[in-house]
Order: sequence, then C-alpha cells, then structure tokens
Amino acid sequence: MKGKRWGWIIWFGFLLLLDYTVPYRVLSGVSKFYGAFLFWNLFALTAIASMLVLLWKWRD
Amino acid sequence: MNVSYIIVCVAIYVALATWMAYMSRRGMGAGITEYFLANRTVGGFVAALTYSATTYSAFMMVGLAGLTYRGGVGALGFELTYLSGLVLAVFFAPRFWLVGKRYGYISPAELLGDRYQSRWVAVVTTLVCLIFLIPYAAVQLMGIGILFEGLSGGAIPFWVGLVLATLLAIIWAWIAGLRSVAWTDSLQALIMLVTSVLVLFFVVYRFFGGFGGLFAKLETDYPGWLSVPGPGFFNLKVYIGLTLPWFFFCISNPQVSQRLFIPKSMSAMRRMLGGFLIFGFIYTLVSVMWGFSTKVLNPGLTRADLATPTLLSQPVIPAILALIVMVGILGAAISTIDSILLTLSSMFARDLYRGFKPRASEEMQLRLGKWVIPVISVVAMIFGGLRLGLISILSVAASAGLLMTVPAIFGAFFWKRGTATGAIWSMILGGVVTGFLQFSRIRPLGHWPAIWGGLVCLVTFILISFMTKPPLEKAEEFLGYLEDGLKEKNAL
Repeated sequence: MKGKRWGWIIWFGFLLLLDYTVPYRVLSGVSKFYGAFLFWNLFALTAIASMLVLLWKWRD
Repeated sequence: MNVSYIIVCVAIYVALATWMAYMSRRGMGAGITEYFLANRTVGGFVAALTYSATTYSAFMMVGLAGLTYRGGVGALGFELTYLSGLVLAVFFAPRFWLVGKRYGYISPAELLGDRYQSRWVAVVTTLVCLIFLIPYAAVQLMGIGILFEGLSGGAIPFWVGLVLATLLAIIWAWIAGLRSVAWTDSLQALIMLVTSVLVLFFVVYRFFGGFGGLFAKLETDYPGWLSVPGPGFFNLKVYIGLTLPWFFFCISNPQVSQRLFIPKSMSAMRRMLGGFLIFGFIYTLVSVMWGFSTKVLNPGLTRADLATPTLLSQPVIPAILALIVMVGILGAAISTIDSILLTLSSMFARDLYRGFKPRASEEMQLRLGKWVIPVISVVAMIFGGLRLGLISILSVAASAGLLMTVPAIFGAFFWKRGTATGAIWSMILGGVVTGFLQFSRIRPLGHWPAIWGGLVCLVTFILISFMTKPPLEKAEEFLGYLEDGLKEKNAL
C-alpha cells in the first residue's frame, strides 16, 4: 500500500510540475487556443481521470 | 434592467429555496451531530452538490471572470490548479471520515485538538478560521451587493444586496442546520451550473457564432490573453502566490473539510468527490469563457470585478437571461456563506466554548452554536460593507490565512512526532506573518504572503515539534486505527 501511495504521489507531483513549467516556459509565446488554454484543460482532465481511478478503488 | 423584474425573480428563488429548507426538516433528529453534520447520513448526490456549492461562490462568475478579463488565460490555470488540488481530498477524505465516525468529531478543529491531545490546538484553529473566514464570507456578500447595484444601474443600492444575502444565509443555516444548508445548496448548485452554461452558450453563439469565433477574435484582438504572463498580471510569482493557498483549499477551509465527515458511506464519499470534479471542471471553464467574452464585448472597463454585472446589464442581453445568471450568482454566494456560518458556529460552540468550559453539555453547545450564526453574519456584513479592494484578491487573502492550518493537518495524519505546541505556534506565527504582509502589502522578493507565511508556519511546526513531547500514545492509536481502516476500504 505504501509503495502504491508513493507512486501516486510522484505521479501527481509530476503533473503539478508540468502545470507550472509548461505554460510559463514552453508555451509563453503561443498566443493561440492550442497554447496554455488547451494545455491547462488537458492537465486538468488528466488529473481528474487519475483521481477518479483512485476513487473507484474504494470499498464500502 | 427593470428593478421590478429583479425583485420578482429573487422572490421566486427565495420562496423555492426556503420551502426546500423547511422540507429538509422532515425526519430530523435531535443533537449536535444531527444539526451540524446531518447525522453523517448524507447521500452521494446531495453531498456532491453541497460540496460544489460550498466550494464555488460568487468568486467564480464575478471574481474569476474578472481575473480572466484582467489577466487572461492564467485565471484558467489558477482555478484548474485548485481543482487538481482535490487530489488532497482523495488522500484525506477517507482519513477524515474514518476518524470522524470513530471519535465523533464535529469539526476539523476538534479532530486536531483530540489528535494532539490539547484543547488549545482546537481553540487556536478556531480563532484562525474565524479571523480569516469572515473576510472570505464578506467577499461573497460584497459580490452580491456589487451585482445588484451593477444590474439595476444603481437603483438597488449596494447595501440592499448585502443585507438580503446576509439574511438569507442566516435563515437557511438556521432552519435545519446542515440539512437545510445541504438541500438549499443542492438547488443552488443546479441553478448555478445550468444557468451559467445556458447563458454562456447564448452569448458565445449570439455574438461570436460559436467558440471558434470567440477564440478567433481573442487571437486577433487580444492575443496576450491566451498566454502567460500575457497582459502582465499573471507573472509566475503572482501565479504561485495565488495557486499555493488554493491548492490546499479542500483541507484548509473548514467549511469544505467538514463536508468530509458527512457522507453515509465510502461510495457516497466517492460520488461526492467524483461529482464535484466534474462540476468543478465545467463551472471553471464557463466562468473563464465568460471573462473572455466580456473582454471582447466590453474591453474598456476600469474595474475587472464589474465585468460580469456590466455584461449582464447590456441591452443586447435578454433581460430574462441576465436575471437567470443573477440568481445563479446569488445562489453561489449564499450557498458558500451559509456553509461558512454553520461551520464557524459549530467550531465556536464545540471548540472555542468547550475549550474554556469542558463540561458544557451538548445541548448548551448546540444552543450557543445556533445563536452565534447571526452574530458572525453581522460581523461579515459589516466587513463586506467596507468594500475593500478587488474581490478576488481578498478571497485569496483568506485562503492564504487558512493555509496556516495545513502543516498541523498533515502532521495529524502523517507524522507521529508532531506536537500540540508545534501546531499552535505554527498557526499563530504563520497567521501573524501572513496577516502582516497582506495588510502592509509588503512582498519580500516579490512573493505573496502565502509563500512567506506558509514557510514560517511549516518551519515552526517542525522545529517546535522536535523540541517538545508528542502525544505518542494517541498518535499510535489514531494512526494504527487509520492504517487498518484504510486497508479495509482500499484507500491510499
């Protein structure tokens, strides 16, 4: 359980790193729909999907 | 807009929500757990809607739309970073829920006080929440005042909206505690989402021929609004300063973390968080697109937080649509305020009062809690009446202050060595530093108060905990129980 926990923490930490670096470093010159706007949408959808995977593992 | 339309529309909404609040009393039992937590028996659907309505406030369609108007796409990143912070709830929710049921906790402050074996931890946590949440509630009240004033072209004065929102929050929190709050929240969450989506589609298709048209216009006329730092507001330091406290929002804000005690089962909890994630994603996109639309249609506003009221009061927007959105925003604000009121009153009675009178009966705590609701409301109303600064920045200041409870919360669940003295001083020193920097507007090295306050808070918690004696017996029992419970529930 602890190994899995750390695996997920690293995954979410990686996503968060992308959240700050990609729009400010990679996409700062892209003033288009497919720049930061699209990136942050994809980032959020990936994070949400990852959370839903974890939620659906819970048992009553 | 015609004032009589506004009055009729608000009257219908108030009548419907008040009827729902009264309906929620059916089958209501007695006692403090019943009043403040609906006896921990809330189903997944209602839990998801009350969680959403409590979290999302007037800030979204007024403040976030205003931030988008002022700073561009960075506002989207900021709000979606908050949403991704719900990963903390995925880790913390089963823990809160399990220990809440086992030890009978009513509030997050009570949890901390018991875990660290110190009533002073609960007292200080409550004081921090009172100090920082009252401005947050005040911001919601201000939002309503500004909205009514803007929509009616000044015919409805600012203070009328302020007083109306305060009264409704008191009544809906008072009628049946969490039951009435959760039911009215559910109605309001549905109104918020449906109305905002409908009107956004109307505006985008009516004025731009679709979302492609809106983005084409933005790319041509306001390209800076599609990148960061864009027009300049969202530089990296501001972005970090805004997102850090909001990332921890779901555990630092007691009116939200108290919701982790209420689901009737783990599957209800799953539906609550899953439902909220979907709701939050849609509502964020809608609010940001609303800000973009306003930027293109009304580019010359001097105050960004007037973007939404100004757009709604345009003659080209059909009055009925503007009214619908107004009710959605009113609902968003009140559903947040009444939840804050209920949570603060529970903390006042359960943690502050009982901290000084440990033998106070539950009946007395409940009676006191109910009477504290109007008192806190009036304080928030007076604060809101001062109309301080940009609405969104004030909102973030509140989150920055509440961030100071986060190290103690992490310590409670993940660090046996954490102590009561460490928790208390981390909240006090972190809160003082944050409050001072916020108030003085000093930004050392350009970073926002949350960064410095959070750093002081974290270092203080760790250092003092190492220098003082932890309640190891309680920590072993508490964390041992959790480890077994989490395994059984298959939660991380």
